[in-house]
Amino acid sequence: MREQRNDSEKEYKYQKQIDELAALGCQMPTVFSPENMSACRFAFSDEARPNHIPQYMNNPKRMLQDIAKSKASMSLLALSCFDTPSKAEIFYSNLKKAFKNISTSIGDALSEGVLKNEDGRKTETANNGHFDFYEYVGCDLNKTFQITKQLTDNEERKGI
Amino acid sequence: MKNVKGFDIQFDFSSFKKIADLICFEGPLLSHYVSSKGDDYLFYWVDRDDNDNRWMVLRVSLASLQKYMAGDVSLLELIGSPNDGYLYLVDVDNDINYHNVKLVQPADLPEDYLPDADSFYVFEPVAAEDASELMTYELTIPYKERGRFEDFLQKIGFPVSALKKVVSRAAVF
Repeated sequence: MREQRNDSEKEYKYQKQIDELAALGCQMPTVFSPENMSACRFAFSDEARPNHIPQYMNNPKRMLQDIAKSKASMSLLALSCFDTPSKAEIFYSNLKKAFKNISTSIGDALSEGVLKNEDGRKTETANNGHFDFYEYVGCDLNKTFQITKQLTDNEERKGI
Repeated sequence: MKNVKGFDIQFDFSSFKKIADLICFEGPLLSHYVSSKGDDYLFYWVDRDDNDNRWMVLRVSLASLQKYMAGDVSLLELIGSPNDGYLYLVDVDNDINYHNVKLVQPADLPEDYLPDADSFYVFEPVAAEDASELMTYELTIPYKERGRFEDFLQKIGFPVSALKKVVSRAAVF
């Protein structure tokens, strides 16, 4: 079964995986064009750590395990974004209070850029500013997003 | 990953059922599970390396968990005083194999394995899809109001006899 594409007929970057999950009954959420909106994401300042890769693509075994347990989520084929740096920083700060090592898992910096309609489609923005972004083929936020702020201090970064 | 002082043990987490992810971002970070005996446990993410994610597992009372969810106590208060006086650390690899299970005293935990003092709950829980059959609700009715409560239950067709035992026991305290 092929997941229904949007009206522009552009293919998602991870279409094969989206189709796999759709065939298993996972719903693709309602998505919208980003309309050149500014957005931000958590990222690693260490160049050795890859950025802007969805969780399931970063760890394909995790997708297989989730499928095996019937707990796969389409959201993990998308990139978590926030609509404003301030909302992203509030969210990060709250996570950091609960998990002191969170920077080793989701990043230690804030990256910002513009999401164009040809980059992909976004889900509805939640009250806390979070939304998922499903990339189209050819989208690479490493080329368009730049780290603008460090979210941890030097001592913490040594542990990353 | 840090070496933490503790006792190596075998512990089977496979029978635990997830009730909800209490905090998640691109995956769960704090989850509520219930054991086959009906005990409530928290799985709290603390660390990672290239091969493993490390989780702290501890038994909590439902009442203290509810206080945390209501914002009345911090995560540090909840985790810092586990019901059993000890907790578990377990490493979970990319294939979801549990290994390196340790029984640990809270005092032996590294400082960065504990939340901040002001780690109050400001997130949205996500219930596990199959959790509804495991969920229970606790309702506290003042003893002097029990008659009115029983009348209400009868009006909505709920079998009051099923609650008699509980109501009576509560009246003893």
